[in-house]
Amino acid sequence: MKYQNVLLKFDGRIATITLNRPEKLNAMNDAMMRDLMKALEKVRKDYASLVVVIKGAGDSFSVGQDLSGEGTKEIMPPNPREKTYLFDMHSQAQKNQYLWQYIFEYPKITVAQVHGYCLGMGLDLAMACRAAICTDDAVFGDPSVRMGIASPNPLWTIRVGLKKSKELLFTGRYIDGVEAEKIGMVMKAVPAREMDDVMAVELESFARSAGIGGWDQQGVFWNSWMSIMQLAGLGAGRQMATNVNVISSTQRPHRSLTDRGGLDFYQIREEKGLKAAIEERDAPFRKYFPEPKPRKR
Amino acid sequence: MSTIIYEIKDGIGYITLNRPEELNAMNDEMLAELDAVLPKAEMDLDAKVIVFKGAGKDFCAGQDLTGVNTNEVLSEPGEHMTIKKRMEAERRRNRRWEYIFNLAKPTIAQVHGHCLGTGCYLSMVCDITIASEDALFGDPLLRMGLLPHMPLWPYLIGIKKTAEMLYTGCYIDGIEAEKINLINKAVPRDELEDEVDKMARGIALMNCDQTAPLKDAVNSVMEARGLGACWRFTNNMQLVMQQRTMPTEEFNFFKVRDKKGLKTAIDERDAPFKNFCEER
Repeated sequence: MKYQNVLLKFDGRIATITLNRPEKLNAMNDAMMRDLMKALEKVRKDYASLVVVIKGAGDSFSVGQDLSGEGTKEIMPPNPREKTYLFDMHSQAQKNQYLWQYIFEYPKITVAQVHGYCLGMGLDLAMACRAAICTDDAVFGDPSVRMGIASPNPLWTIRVGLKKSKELLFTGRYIDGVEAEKIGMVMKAVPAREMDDVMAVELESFARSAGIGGWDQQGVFWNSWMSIMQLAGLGAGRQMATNVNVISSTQRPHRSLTDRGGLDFYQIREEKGLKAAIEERDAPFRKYFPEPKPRKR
Repeated sequence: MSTIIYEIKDGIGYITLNRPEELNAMNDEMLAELDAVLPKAEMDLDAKVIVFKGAGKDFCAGQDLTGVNTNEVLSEPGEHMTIKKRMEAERRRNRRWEYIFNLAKPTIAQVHGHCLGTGCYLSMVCDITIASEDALFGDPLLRMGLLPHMPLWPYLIGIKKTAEMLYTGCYIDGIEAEKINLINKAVPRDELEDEVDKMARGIALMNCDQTAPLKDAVNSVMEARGLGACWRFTNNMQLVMQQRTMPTEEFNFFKVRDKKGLKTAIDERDAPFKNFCEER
């Protein structure tokens, strides 16, 4: 099978899926999501693979949803001005919820190898993996609330905790890899030059532990952990976050109650282009929050 | 309004506890005023984020323990009240915390100085807590034979740390509080206001109504984890604790207070623990 937006490589016990739209900083669109799903399904059926690494080609892991508005009907909520039926919005969000559930409940060990930007849906992907290892200058964050969209990802509360989740989601603030490690968002942050060595060791140990009792043992183990997650509110959180995500995407910017008119991302994008829209979205916040950037290489 | 000051500045609502000479201890008057101001702050379109803070040198030292004008704050053990009356009072107390926890607006606690007992609870039910490094957090209720009644403790800092803090009633400072995730961030005292200001202004920029539902989505995981039932449970346990008869050899805070005064009672309460807790 040919994948256009991801690269799939098998190497013994370790499979590697590389998000491959480097010129767009691996922004996610429908095609990439479909390819990622197909690749994961293929790895799932490959009995030799015990561990799957997910990483990004080029400068970044993934900047998140492709906000260009093209080829994103499936993964992005529709433009609020298109007046879509609530039913359609909800089925779109529900379908996405199943995708994230699939990745989170994946029976083999998933490891996100993060460098550069890891934002929005990219961060959702890294959080849905069982482990995430990042470079210390990687940049994490979910700025979607700045354009009026509430995160559909309930893993925030579980992985990062109540207070920090709220701080980061309310502000859409970006943090670097070191802080991400401190608050439990990733397993560890390492200097970029050590990344390959660290990954080699970690993957070897993951593969060894996965091999104990055969990989299906790992699947069973993860399943039992999953039921703890359900008791910890993941299922209910998923439903709630999905609904909130739908509600948020029905909002028309000029009808916002608290702001009584605000940034209309879609209109700015139409008039001045995507780059300008993102700039206008983030610029006001720079005054209050530091904006870490990945180091140039 | 005297014990609570509510003001709006640049899209940020400030609720200031204002009994500085009493370390902002909560008495009935303050709670009544707080109850009046909260729905107002929640509805206010001009306040996009609410900051709780304390006037003077402290955030809040907790319940006013003088026993004067504190029926709503604390039903003292040994006081002859019907169980129904006590229960209603307990319900009201917990409902207040629950209400602030679910307030349809982001909330920030700006903590300096003492932040003990119910003061600490107030900082916990806020979405974000930023404190000065030398702030003091703790819940010494158990030392007085009362039950700490904030179910968020284990959710925020885990069961081990919760056990340590509540069994001993020891205080921790802002730096330690950040380490165990009781708060978001500890900063030097003179940077506190700036730091809170930045956070609040940043959130106030959010040009949409989405912070409220987003807060619901985050809180819902906690609800599904049993927080709802825990409010009820701690509520009832506290009631049981107040109904019990204190053994004569047990330190009776309230008797000592009535005989020798509040300051002596607090000293006598804390003195035996001095050897075990790090001095803060």
